[in-house]
Amino acid sequence: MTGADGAGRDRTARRPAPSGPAEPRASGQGASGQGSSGQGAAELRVDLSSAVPVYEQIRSQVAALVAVGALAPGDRLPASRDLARDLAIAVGTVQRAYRELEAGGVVVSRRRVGTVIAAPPRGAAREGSPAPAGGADLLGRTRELVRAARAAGLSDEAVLDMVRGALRTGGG
Amino acid sequence: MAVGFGLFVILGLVVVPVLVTLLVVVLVRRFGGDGEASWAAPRAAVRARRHELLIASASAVASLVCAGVVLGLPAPGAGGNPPVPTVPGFAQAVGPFAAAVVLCVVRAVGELTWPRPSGAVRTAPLVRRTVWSLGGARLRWLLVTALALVLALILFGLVAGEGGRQFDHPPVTWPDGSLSTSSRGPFPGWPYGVPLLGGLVVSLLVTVATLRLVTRRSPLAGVPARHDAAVRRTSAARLLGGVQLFVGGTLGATLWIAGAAIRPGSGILGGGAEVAWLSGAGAALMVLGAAIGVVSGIAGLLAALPRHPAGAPEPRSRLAEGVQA
Repeated sequence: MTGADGAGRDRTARRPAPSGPAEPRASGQGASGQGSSGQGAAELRVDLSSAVPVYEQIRSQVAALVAVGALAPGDRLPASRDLARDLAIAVGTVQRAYRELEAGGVVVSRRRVGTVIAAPPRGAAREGSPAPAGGADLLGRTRELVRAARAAGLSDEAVLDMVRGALRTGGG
Repeated sequence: MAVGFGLFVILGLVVVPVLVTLLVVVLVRRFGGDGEASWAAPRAAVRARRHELLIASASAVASLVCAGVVLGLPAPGAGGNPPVPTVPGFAQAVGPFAAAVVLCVVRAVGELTWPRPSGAVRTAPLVRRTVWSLGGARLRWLLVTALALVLALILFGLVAGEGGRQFDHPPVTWPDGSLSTSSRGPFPGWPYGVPLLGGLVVSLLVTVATLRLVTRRSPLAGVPARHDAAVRRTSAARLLGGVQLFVGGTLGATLWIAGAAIRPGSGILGGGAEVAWLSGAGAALMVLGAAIGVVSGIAGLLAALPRHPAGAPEPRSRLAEGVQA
């Protein structure tokens, strides 16, 4: 079920979070994210009752999907109106999320094409993408961490707390 | 007499269509592999497919009732007041497009009955859905069929005889020096062609508008993404299949009628090369028209079958199980 292609993108399915508001999902094999068949389509999940603003939930989930390769450069995101309709939220909320993603270099907006996932800049890290050096290895280790944590019965929030703690303490 | 007429209206236009709809729903659920066990689908997905089946059945029955009503309208010479007295069979000619419009309108109303997203947790696929992507090959074939009908109507309008409702065969000069002329109708010249073109345009616009509603429907709460996508594809296929049935049937009938009029009558059949090729051309048009009508009918019926979720095993219908047993 798991495997990484030469580009360092693992296109396996992620198990949905057992609880918690804002967990992106990539269902099926690979995530071209395009077409209307639903196969392999990445999925957004928002919790309107969460303390995290909805636009931030959308932004962070899209960035996470790009980081794990579920969304590839050139993949087109739904129009803000369409995504807002699907989630039954205000259009402005989706537009803000897209603006933040564009400011972070994750997406670009083009006329007549819409919002597409941006290609990572050469040699530079951007929000939502692993550093070029050892990217595949880091991604693989991250997945190992997630598997081990879930096998140990930790919730996704607990895993995120661990990672935040490691970031704060410099990983030492 | 008034009581009898009222009874006919109630039975023919209300009771019978409702009963037929329910019967179709029951039969397809029982024999069409649409049951819960055959899909291994979550309960919410099963409910969604049942709702889609009800919408499809209602729209199909409504369109068939419309077609029946239109076909039952009086033709000139048969008594009564035909819609267009000077164009025999006008209502019957545009009837398929009226039925297609009814199919789309009822489907559109049904699309508005899907539940809106509610609850605190909501999901949506990050997939750009368009009318073109959802329509796929069926939409392309529908447009090809429509284009063929447009070209045929323009051609027949140009070659039609005086009045546009008949085809004038070339005059035949017999060995004794006498001259014979003949014409045959009905022929789909401009008196039919213009309304048919108008009906086709209206049908296509309404079809695209309805397909847009299907495309823009919000994902169904509690239904996994691939099942939701399968329901959406099923809706689109049934809509386009139904319209293809009517448009393709109209094209087939137009070619058949034109071919029958082009074929020379027995009176001038022996008139030499001037008319000999017309016999073959007329027969070819009739055969082509019949083939297109049959294929469109089959395509329309096949579109009624539900679409699988991506990656799902083939559903086993109870009919297939009965045959194997």
